[in-house]
Amino acid sequence: MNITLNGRLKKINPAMTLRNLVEQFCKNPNHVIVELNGTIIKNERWASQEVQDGDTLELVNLVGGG
Amino acid sequence: MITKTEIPDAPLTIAGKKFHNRFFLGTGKFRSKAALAESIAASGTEIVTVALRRIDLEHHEENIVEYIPKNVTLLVNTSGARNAQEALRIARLAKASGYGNWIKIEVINDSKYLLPDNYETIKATEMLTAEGFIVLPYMFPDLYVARELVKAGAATVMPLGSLIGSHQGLKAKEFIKILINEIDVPIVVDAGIGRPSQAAEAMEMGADAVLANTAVAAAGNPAQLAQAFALAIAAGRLAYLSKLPSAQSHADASSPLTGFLFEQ
Amino acid sequence: MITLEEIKNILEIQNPGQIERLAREASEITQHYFGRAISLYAPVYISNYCSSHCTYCGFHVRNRINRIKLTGEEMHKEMSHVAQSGIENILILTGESYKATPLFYLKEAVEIAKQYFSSISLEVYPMEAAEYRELFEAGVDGIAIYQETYHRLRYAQVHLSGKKKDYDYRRSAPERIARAGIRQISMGILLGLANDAGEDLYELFEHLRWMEKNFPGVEYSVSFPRLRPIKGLGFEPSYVTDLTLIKVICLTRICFPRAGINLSTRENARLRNHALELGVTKISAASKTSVGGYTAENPEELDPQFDIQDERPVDEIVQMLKHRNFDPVFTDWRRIDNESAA
Repeated sequence: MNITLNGRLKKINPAMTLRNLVEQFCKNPNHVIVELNGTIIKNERWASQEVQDGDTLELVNLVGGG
Repeated sequence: MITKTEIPDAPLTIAGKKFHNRFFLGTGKFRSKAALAESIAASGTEIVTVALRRIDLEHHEENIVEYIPKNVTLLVNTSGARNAQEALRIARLAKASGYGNWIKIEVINDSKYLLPDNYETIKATEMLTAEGFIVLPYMFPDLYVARELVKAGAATVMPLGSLIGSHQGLKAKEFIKILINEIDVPIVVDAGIGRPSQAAEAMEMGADAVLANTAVAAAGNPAQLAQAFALAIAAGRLAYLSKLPSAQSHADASSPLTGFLFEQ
Repeated sequence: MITLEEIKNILEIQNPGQIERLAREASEITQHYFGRAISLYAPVYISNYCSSHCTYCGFHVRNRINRIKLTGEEMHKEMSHVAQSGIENILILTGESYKATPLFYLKEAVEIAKQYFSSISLEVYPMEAAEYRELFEAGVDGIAIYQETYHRLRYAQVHLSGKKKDYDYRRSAPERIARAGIRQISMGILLGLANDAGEDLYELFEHLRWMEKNFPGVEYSVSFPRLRPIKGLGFEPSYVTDLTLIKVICLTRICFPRAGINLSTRENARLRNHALELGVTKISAASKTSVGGYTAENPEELDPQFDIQDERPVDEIVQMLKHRNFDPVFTDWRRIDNESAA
């Protein structure tokens, strides 16, 4: 399956939920914010939300800034 | 280590929250998360700015929030936004992070000087306050714009002192003074503050708070400099509260203007 | 903003050196923001009908004076006489009678004044924003409305009947004027009315500051008419010294560097001349304060609102100004059509 993750094309396994994805790519899933195709998906829905071919995902978190 | 700089003063109130320390610390560019944590502790700051960024998928990064005490208010900035719509998107993401809804609007469409776009900032303020965010807009000190920001619901106004990271201090001093005189929400001087003395100067002239980032993060000993900033800001505030005497011009022995009042 | 305590301290100063310092500061600020420009204007009273009882004013409703209001023709006569002296700024005054001098009467006066003067101001009763708007569209540039005193109790004591009793309606008039688009607003207090000039001055400053903040595009000016007893009225104003008046002028100049300060012909020539150096930027010239007073055959039979102490004709005032290196200004901008400006 091809998705765009944080601006880059990535191949991932099919039948992944958001939770699977976050756990695969993020060391600390607790502080991650997920935006799927322009919509913010809350933590509670990650386990039930499936990632589909062609999806655009942004995984962001808070970092230092001025 | 002095962590409190207590002076007889009313707290700074923003959107109902009281701050006893008028030093706002930016958390960018620190060499280590430990240095950041020490700087927060040494200065006693009660509000820090953070940014939103894509997670670095290649490297493990400890989340910055773990280095910020729970009682410190997080002010998420919209850095990266080049227009109001992007600022709104970042704000919504920040809110979804669960760390509150205090947003510092930073809309910059200029990679050379990093000057804020005042007009997009006004638009962004309107859009964000409509969605319930507490908005602290970073702006170039223009009185008309400041008024519009207040009208749009800004909780404070944050005029730049000089260009971000320039350490030039209060190049915009006279225009910040105008905002202090005319605008009724707290004025937080932000950007370009390179030395504690510059921060003290801002407070002496009546600013309500000062934000510094680069100066502290880049210092040889960030925690000490952060402490110096907090002390300087408290000193400047105390000086302002004691109503500095104005410079007096000397009078002549004769009274050409008012002598007539004493003639018979 | 200056505090009440600071105002009171300054009003108590007696030391000539300190007073001179205060005056110097006021003088420098005036020079800085106004240069040597002094605006000239003349008042034209078109009616002395009044429905309020203000115990300090010769026009009050219970006072037995000859009530006159000018017809259109009479207005032409008075106004053309004043215009001939070179005056371009007119201040049209009436007593406060909504019935005798309603809005359409005021508009008629404005239409006539437009034929003789390039700038028109009114000092009349407070009205609704929509009515001020009509005046604005008719060509009015400025409105003068003085709170007289901000001290509520004192205000109630000296305003016994009529619409003028309504303190809040009057106090909120400047805001309505600004909302209507009128660009020049003159505010003030009567010195000698309240017992504590300091408190009244402080309240005036607060009011003016509020107006400046909320309506920053308006040009503000301030006036401090000093009350004198009027024969037969039975009203005793508090005695206000020349020194106090001068301090009030200096303080106002220092606290409001850009506000105009007006000193009328209530004050004598000597005081007016000196006050020009200290912050006064607007003076009336060759004034008559009775209705029809400029062209009346027997002016001594008329009832003036107050007695004139500076009777110098316009030419003499202009000469005095030039002699002292002032710049007499008759008109500082061309009248534009307010409708297109709206």
